[in-house]
Amino acid sequence: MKLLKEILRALTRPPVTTQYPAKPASLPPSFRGPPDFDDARCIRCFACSSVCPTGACYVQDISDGERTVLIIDYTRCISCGRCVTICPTDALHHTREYSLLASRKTLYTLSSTEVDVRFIRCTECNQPITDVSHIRFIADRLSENLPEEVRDRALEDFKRFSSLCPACRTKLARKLGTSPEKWC
Amino acid sequence: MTRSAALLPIGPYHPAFIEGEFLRLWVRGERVVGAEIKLGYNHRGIMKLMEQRTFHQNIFLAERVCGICNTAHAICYCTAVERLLGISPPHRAQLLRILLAELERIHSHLLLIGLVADLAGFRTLFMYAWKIREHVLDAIERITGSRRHSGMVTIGGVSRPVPGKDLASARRSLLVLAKELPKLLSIMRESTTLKRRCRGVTEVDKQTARKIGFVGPNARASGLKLDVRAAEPYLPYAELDWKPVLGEFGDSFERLIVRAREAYQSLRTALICIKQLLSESGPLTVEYQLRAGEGIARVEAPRGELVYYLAAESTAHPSFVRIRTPTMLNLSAIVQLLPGLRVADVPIAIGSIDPCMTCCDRVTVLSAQSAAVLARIPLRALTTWKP
Amino acid sequence: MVLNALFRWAFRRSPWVGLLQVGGCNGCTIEVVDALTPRFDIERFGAVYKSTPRHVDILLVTGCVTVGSVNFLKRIYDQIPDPKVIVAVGTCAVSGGIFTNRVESASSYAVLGGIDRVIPVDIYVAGCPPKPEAIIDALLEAAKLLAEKRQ
Repeated sequence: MKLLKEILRALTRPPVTTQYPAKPASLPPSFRGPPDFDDARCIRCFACSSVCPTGACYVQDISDGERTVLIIDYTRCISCGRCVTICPTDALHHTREYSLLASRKTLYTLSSTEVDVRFIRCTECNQPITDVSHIRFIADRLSENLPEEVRDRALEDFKRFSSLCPACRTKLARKLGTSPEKWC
Repeated sequence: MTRSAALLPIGPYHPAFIEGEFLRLWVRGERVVGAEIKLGYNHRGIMKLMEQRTFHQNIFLAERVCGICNTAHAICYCTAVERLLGISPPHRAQLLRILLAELERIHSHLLLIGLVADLAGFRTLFMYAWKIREHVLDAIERITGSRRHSGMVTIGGVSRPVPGKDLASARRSLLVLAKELPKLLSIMRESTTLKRRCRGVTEVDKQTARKIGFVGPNARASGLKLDVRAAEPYLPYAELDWKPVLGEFGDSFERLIVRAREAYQSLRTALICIKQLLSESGPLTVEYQLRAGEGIARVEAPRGELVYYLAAESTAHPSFVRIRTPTMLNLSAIVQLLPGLRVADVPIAIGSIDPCMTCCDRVTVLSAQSAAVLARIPLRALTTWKP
Repeated sequence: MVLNALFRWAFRRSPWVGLLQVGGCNGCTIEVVDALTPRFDIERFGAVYKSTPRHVDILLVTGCVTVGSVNFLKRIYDQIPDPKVIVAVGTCAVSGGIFTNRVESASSYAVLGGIDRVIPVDIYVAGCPPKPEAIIDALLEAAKLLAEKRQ
């Protein structure tokens, strides 16, 4: 009797099975796919690549060193969302891609959009320092937050120091006598 | 073992255990006279890897110790770090952690009920348990954005806010489950297939359970009141009108029943949690500064007591990490109970303790050249061990 | 001739599927089993889950290759009759995932990396873990590949 009731109930209900390949998959609004860049917002601070637990997000030279790009390798990405939380300008967002298939030949296509990196090189020793837009972002933040009376002087100092790599920066600081070691 | 006993090797790849493990049984006729489990096929060197990565990167590594009870691992790791740093997460973050942990417990228990039913030859129950399990996964996916690895728990709280809309939607999925769970329990209690296959297999009384070292639902099935949530509340469970579920017979069947009852209780806790979360607001994380020290945390994972110990020297990396997972204890306990069983009951006996081999493979020393297991050494000896 | 073609048509989407976990965290393994159960149900495409590698056409491998599991992965690969399709399910099986790093020195000592370090892989499914929908997609793709290999 109980079984009969169950059968009757099953007849009236819609099937639980999804119609998947025929109908699109149901993704919740909070779905965490692998992240992608918003080129206009990205300031190339490389915070994402330094927090990535798998090394999926990285900077690489491509086309024989002509271009340098910041990229997320989806074959390594675990969609943990750490880069999305850490990004200071919300330039990263989770995509809604859930089916990342590839064959051996197309494996390289599993990656995010490339973000071009234009390194500033140290004027003294030609070492790459960081990207142009990162420097610009810091300068903008400085001029926003510094008080009026020191702003111009600080920005001038910033311009001088930001064109140097960390090693040369220390040298200059020693020469100018602003090194903290002097005070210890 | 003895000369007349035949050796029956099961594994390392065997349909009864999806994961890699090697079970050696010495049998005389249909009776098992000796048993040995060889682990190490899944050893990934997680504890060593944790010492190379930063505290934040390790959260995701801790999650991937086990794909089934990942939130328990993340909560345990983060609690250990928080004790090291001397901070405690805000109340709303703690409630969210309870919600995630309890949802995970429901899905883990339903998963096991299905798997044991499959081992017992009751495929309908397997399909039914996994069908209703999808409702929990829907709720988890709605809240965290992923079906399995939540990636939500972070040091000092919870990393992402959860909109009320998502919580309400998760609540709707859970209410559907609330109708189905009693039905599952009644099917389990009434079905002769499951009862005949599981009743009386590896029956353990209270004293024996304590002696052989069962933890988690397996110990509670024998009536042993062993629950970290009650003994050492690491999250505010007391607010949520919660108390441990206890069984009495302590056989394989009772372990399943205790899990089903616990799933129901977790569902109730999760619903209360959602109600509280919807009504209150507050910060999700606290500020902190890294410092030297050590932290130890015990958490009740779906399979039992999970322990993380870590020490740090005020760098961005922990200098020493140790993990003790519940399956290590449960597995070593069940191996002692296998002699005397029939061979056909062995998968059920092992299945009923909810083994998670990926959790286990900790302190196995492997030779990198020959892929041979060199030694299986106790924790204490590890500091002085030389190949 | 006609009968042969009819057979091929009838079996074009009915592969037997095996599942093997060689390391990793169980997450992808459970997602593959999820794909067998009522919500996703790969049996509606004719695919049947088989637990012994000797009956299998398509092998879904989850998890990274650990030092301990290299040998049995190779042995199971040899046990599968030709033609066979190997699908790497999950980020760990594709590249080693979180247990390895792009920089070799930051990888775990016990993990070799993706399963393509040991056996040839035909289809990769990235994701940690991939949704059952992705596994269904991979399976349909694998069935297509299997039909090509059979000809």
